Amino acid sequence: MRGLLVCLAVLAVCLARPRETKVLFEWKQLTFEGLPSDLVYNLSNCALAGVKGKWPRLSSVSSDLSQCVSLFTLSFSSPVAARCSEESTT
Amino acid sequence: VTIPRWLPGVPATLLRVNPATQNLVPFPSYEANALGSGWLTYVQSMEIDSRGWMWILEVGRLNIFSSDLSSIVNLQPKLVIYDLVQRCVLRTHVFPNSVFPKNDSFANDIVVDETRGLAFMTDTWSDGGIIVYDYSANLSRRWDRAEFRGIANATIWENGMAFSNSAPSDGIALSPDFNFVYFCAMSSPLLYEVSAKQLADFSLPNSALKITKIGKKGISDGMAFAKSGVLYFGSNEENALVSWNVSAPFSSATIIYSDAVTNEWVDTFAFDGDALVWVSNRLLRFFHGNLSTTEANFRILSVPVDSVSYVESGDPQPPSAECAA
Repeated sequence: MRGLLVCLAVLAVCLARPRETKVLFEWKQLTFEGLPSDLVYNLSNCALAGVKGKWPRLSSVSSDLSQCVSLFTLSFSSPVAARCSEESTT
Repeated sequence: VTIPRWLPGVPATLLRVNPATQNLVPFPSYEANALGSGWLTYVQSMEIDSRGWMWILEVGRLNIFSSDLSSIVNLQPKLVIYDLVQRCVLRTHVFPNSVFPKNDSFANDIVVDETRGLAFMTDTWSDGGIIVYDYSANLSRRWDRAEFRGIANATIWENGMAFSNSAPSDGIALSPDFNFVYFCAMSSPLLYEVSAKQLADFSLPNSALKITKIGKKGISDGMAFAKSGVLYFGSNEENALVSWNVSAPFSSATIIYSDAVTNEWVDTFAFDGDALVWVSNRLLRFFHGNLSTTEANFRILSVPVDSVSYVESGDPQPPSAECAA
């Protein structure tokens, strides 16, 4: 009887435990694709320009202009990159 | 996912994640997101219903946190319904200024009752508000009540950072029977419930709306219901994800995940089959100008919850619609 109670208690604890949580994606800075090539070019420059300011060098800045590594962030954006890109898009 | 255009220079506001590269791809296209020429300006939230309609809530405002005041633009907020199956816009509803004032609103979050053709949205600006859109009538109305207000200059603490704010009605969730809307202000720990039927009554005066205080849940941003009747929300001062089965007392609400690193500021939720998916985004660090240059700042997490989204309880009406001209 005692063994059964122990088993039930263990089972209850196991059922109550949260299931495994996974981090599906994570970003330090966001990367984009599918942007026009001229905008990508300017954004890449902006990312590099940002290096001169607050942010460290981004080793992952792509030389392939089909992709862009920027300082824009999910939900939020860096003022440094923001100024650059604003200039680039006007 | 969405990227707020709070500052100049965000290339797109509505995007999808390319899982192979982790890059963000403008959705449905860069052209749709292009400032000045695209039909998307600044999307804060969207909801996808069971027939594949994406209800896109447009804030209409640009660069509201820019120090360059000349860069701020206030356009009229709107709701765009985009059909993911036909890949076209079905309808655009521009909110009247009396519903979402373009200079004094923040169209924040949205939930959808596809059976009755209703959308419920929060306004997270000034004294807050709940806005209702009726698809059949193509009309919207606004509710203003004291419960939508936040707490003036409330101090939020997370990971040793303090943040003072007065943000009003923010998180919103719709019960899977579509009978109740739950909402909370970002600056307040309180959770409220209101009848969806009352909210959808456009003839009812503000004062007649019955709002019930459910309990103290901690500081949250977004919320979401599963079809099982479990409500999920953050307790952000604890870096926690909390679940509460609404059929049980509110005191039974339980932390199901907590992590000071990966779960800093639980923001918004979605479902992927039977998995709950959410964004954590270190919001307070952004406001402090202290996002990390060496660590991940933004994450999408998931946990199996043995249920699907509340929208799967619906019987979509109409089942389909033609693309707008």
